[in-house]
Amino acid sequence: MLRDITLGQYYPVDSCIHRLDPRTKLFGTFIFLVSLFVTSSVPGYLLASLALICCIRLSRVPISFMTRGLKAVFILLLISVSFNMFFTGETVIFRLGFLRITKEGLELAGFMALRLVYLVIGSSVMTLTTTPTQLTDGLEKSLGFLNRFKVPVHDIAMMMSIALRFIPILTDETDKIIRAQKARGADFESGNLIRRAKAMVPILVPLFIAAFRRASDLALAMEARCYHGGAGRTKMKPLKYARRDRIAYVIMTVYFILMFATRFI
Amino acid sequence: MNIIEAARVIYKYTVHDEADNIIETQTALSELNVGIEKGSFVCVLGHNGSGKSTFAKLINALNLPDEGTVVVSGMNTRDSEHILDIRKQAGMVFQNPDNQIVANVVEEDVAFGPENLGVPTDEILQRVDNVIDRLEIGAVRTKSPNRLSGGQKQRVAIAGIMAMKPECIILDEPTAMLDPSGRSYVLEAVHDLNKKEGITIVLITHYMEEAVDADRLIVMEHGEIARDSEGRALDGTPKELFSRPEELKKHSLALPVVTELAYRLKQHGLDIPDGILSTQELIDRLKELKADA
Repeated sequence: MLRDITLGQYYPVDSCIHRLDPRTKLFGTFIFLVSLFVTSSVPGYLLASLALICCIRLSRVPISFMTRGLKAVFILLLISVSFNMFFTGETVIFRLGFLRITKEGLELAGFMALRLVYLVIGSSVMTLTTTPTQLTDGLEKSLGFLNRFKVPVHDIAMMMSIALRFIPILTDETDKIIRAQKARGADFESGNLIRRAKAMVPILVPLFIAAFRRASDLALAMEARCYHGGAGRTKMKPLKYARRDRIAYVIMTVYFILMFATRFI
Repeated sequence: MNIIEAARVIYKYTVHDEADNIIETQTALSELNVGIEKGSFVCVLGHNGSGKSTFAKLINALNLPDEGTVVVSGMNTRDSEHILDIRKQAGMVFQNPDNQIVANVVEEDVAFGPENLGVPTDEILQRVDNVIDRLEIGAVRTKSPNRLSGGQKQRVAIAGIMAMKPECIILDEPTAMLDPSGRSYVLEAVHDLNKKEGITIVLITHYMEEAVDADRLIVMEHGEIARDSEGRALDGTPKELFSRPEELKKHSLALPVVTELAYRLKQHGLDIPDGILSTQELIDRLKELKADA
């Protein structure tokens, strides 16, 4: 399952979405996510789908990459859909024993599923078209005002970017440890939940030790390369808004107003 | 002129208990004296625990000596105001390629050092362009470091150091985790920088083959420069040191394959000089012998 998380997996092609300022994309993703919750009408979702499809086409990232993240939330999706389907609403359409499916429940479940799917795909569009460094730069810059409240924004951004870099490395390491323990006769598949949870210990202990070792190495390497916090740092690619960002902001505003308007249809 | 000067350096690792009392000390460097000449290619050999990595960290001011001084380009590593200058002058490449790449894209990692130093944006771009050209890693410029081979990762790490415009690069077993082709790929780059850019190289390694092409070898043991049975320091050109194979063996260092072969042939009575370093040299000598016979 770990492999299915597309977070932080940049897809390197050149497209107008890739070229947008990360702050624009962050804001856009935020607007998109909020817009999914302001409406629950069919035209609203048609509009959202249209927007999403346009973004995906413009980003030139294959759709299969976008949907990869869905596997990780599949169970969550299943649970929320079945809860909505079976336990809400009045107008019964179908009944089997104590299970009953209602019209309202079905609608709600449908919207809920769409919302979740769009949430994941929407954020994948951002993470696949933005390098993690750009992403954290964007966060650092757009949340810069928090510095005034003594929030260490730079440090948090640096931590995020390092975490993103090490996710694939630690994933590989986990795979290796699992295989090594299996080779020694460890059994991760059989037994009840508690037994299986216990079987995870021989994976987690070496993983943590390795992670700490890596952390200490990396800290040393960063120090050797003159890292001394955010003060006095410059950027190779400082964030600068261009014309396309202004256009994107206009489109996003229009989109949001339209989404809001669909509430009243 | 010496770019690095270590004088009577003592460094101890201490283990503290919970109440911060010292329960164990281990001397990593005991009265180490060594000077490294500007522009030279120096190879530091020695087995695990001989203090060679500790020495590297002292040059970079990552550790400070307990006693004695380490001076880099005229700056004492104890002066905290010079610390960034020292680290900029004497860049360091570590063993594990994964654990020293910070950014998620190659070019951004190369820019990490100059960014920390507060170099203006235009100049960073220019430096990154130059360095990426120099180390021939243009093909992976916009890739994630996770998709590179070990050798490529080490080249990226070297590029990251080069972008800080150092006088000297210290490489702490940079090839230990690489396969043979990755190893030569990295060493090629290091030699090239030494010859064409005049950058002082301190290469710490286990591999004798890597030592052959250095200007100078230093064998370390027990935190100081190792000495032979007559008390002479094992510090000199590869030719000098490999001419004394017995001494190297005493310090459990293996000879390069060719040198070992030549040494054994000599023991079996063939007239071969000491300190053969390359295959070609041995072949030439053997041909001469054959012609004579």
